Amino acid sequence: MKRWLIALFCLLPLAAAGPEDDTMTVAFERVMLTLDSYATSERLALILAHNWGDTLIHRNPETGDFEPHLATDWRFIDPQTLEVDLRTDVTFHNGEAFGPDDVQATLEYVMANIETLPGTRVLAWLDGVDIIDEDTVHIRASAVTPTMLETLALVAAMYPAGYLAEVGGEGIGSAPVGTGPYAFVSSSDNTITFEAFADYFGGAKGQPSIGNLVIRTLPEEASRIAALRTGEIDIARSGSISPDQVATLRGNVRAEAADILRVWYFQMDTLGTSGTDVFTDVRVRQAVNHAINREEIVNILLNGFGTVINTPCNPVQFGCDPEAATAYEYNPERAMELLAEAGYPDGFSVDVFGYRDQQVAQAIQGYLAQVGIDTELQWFGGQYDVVSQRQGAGETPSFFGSWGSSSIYDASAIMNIFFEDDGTYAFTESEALDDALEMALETVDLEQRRTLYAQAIDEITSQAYWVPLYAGRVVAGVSEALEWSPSSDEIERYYLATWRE
Amino acid sequence: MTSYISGRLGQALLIALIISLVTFLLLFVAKDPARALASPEATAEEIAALRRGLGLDQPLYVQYGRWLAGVVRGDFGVSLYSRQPVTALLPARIRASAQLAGSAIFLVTIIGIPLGILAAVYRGTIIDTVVTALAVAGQAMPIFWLGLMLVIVFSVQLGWLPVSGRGTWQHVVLPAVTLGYSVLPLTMRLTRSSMLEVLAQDYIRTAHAKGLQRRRVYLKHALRNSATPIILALGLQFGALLGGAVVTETVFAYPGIGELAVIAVTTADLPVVQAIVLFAASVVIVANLLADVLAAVVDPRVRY
Repeated sequence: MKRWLIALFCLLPLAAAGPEDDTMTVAFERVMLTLDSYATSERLALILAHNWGDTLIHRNPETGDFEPHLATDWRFIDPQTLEVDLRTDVTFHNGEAFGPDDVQATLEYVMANIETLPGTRVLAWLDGVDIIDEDTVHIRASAVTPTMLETLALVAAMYPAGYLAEVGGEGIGSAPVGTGPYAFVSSSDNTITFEAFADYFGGAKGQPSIGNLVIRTLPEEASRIAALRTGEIDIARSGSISPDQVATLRGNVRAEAADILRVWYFQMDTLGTSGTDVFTDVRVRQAVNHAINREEIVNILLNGFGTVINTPCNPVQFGCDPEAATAYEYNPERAMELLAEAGYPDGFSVDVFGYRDQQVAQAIQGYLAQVGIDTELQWFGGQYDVVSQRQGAGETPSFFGSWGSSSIYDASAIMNIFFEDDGTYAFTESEALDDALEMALETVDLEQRRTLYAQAIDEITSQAYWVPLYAGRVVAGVSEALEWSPSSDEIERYYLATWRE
Repeated sequence: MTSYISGRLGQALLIALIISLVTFLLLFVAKDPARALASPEATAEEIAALRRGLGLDQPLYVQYGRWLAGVVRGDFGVSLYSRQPVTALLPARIRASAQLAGSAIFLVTIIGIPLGILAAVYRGTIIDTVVTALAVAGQAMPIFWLGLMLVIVFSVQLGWLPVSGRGTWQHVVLPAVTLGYSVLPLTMRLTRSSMLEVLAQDYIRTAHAKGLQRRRVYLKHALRNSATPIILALGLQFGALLGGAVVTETVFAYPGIGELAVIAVTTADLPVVQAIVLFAASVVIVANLLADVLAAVVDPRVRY
């Protein structure tokens, strides 16, 4: 009986990834219900859009440089108008020729849905697109937008005008058509299939080496690791493998890591809006900075998958100058001295709000307890939308969280949110700080912006409005049959993968 | 019987509506749908614009009324999360969940009922003890853990079955076993106790006395007379499983209604949540009704 069963199962056509059928299978941890990256704030849709679609401008993930892609060149003809020259030799997957009408149709689709489609938000600056001739468009912004090129390169995949008019965003979401390296084939049962586009123009991305790309959904980490080890999948997406599971990736799989833009921070209620006024005193805030052992968190809890930062931004972001920051070394004795000076010789009690990385939150609680700050953890596991509402309303005396800056390599994507007067999560009152951050958004002069952000960093850190903790490092599980690694901007470029010899 | 069925269907409609209203209100209490849909890095202004654009700033009674009016016309709305029509999202997932639930109930029927019969017939023996122990273990075992253990053994170690997904019948095996095991204990114990009650009846003693074969006595006379509660329980279970095998579908990434329900609740995708709740409630109610009707067919003593 047992032999019969084994023989039967051996005959079964189990789904297999791998070089034998030139199919690379990638596991996502969440279900994809739409492939229209403008329709959703889901990062996974954006990742796939970079594989089946193309943007006008390509941001090189290694150098950070903007490179021609669907656009051959561009220039600002005034601070709010970008003139873009387009390629004339590109074809969409459905045979439509790429041209200025597609740029106009795509960006007008975005503008028409700014208030209904969550994925359009970083393009809210769009004011209009004018077709100048058969290979030139003007893209207009409603105000000076220093991040115009950044956002066009990040999220603005071009859709074919004819197909978009025929099927709408809903149709794009279920069967996308783009110009990208991989063409959509089918989607069913949480499995999405693409094939290499034979007429791909290459551009800044080059030609895909692997013939087929399959995306599967595996919500459980244990299942992803199991599938990697059985060869059912070739890649478990970066960020879907916990640092403490890296040791399980052995044999025919390995871990590939990438430093990412996301930073972790500990925020304090510097204005007392939550009803707790302990953090209104700069000495208390500085004490908290000295109390937390960030190196230990990174080296032990995160197994080295992180980098301690001293800035209220990621140092790879434009304008984020570590030299401008005041650094606080781990010094619990100094922390207790500062607390005593501030009138808390016996410490105090305070609530800490959090929603992810509970081990780190608990470690922070431990460090604070050592200097006399007793904390009650208000845990909203995974429910960022719920806890961020409390944070935004100023109801959290302290908050442990992270910020990805929407993958925008500009300090404005984080500092203006947390420290400019009308920023969503800003609870500081400093006219100089507010002025610096506001002016940094109103100019495209790079040197001026650098200076303004340096001033802001100096004030934020010397006043210890925040505790910058660490910048993240994410792990992907990758088959040893595959040559591929994740990117720091968290846009996974599957078209760069090749089979190992 | 016809008037009984009509009355039950009328009740079903009312219950489903009440459930949909309660769900709608609970979702708004638990989450801000606009904030749940927006990027985690959206500003307050962007969230407000989204709320406005999607009509989520309207009074609750207006939003619910609009939804209800659409349902009456057969329009269940558009998913806020994926922008796909709800009626396009559900059918394939319902089929998947039906396949899974049906497979699980099939396994439970062919395993649970015979084991329950054996436990009753051999009451007090080692067979009875083993079956009872299996039932207790099944009730105590977390489904999540069982599913992962099955994956480790049968997928990773032995490589016999796939880790997850759907596509071939092999994909259904592990999720069906996991799901079935969650209802197996109830079926075994119910069969056992129901059989014991019947086996103590005089007509069973008479059947033995008449010299009938034991198998005939147990299967034709005893089982048939004890079938009503078993059928009712299986009917209830099928409805519950079809409506949301959430944990199992999540562990195995099985693209059914349960998985979609998790996504919809997490993202506060109101139209999808409402449609799933309505579907699940309807299924449970109809499954109950069918179980009652089937019980009447099997047991002529049952009359409505």
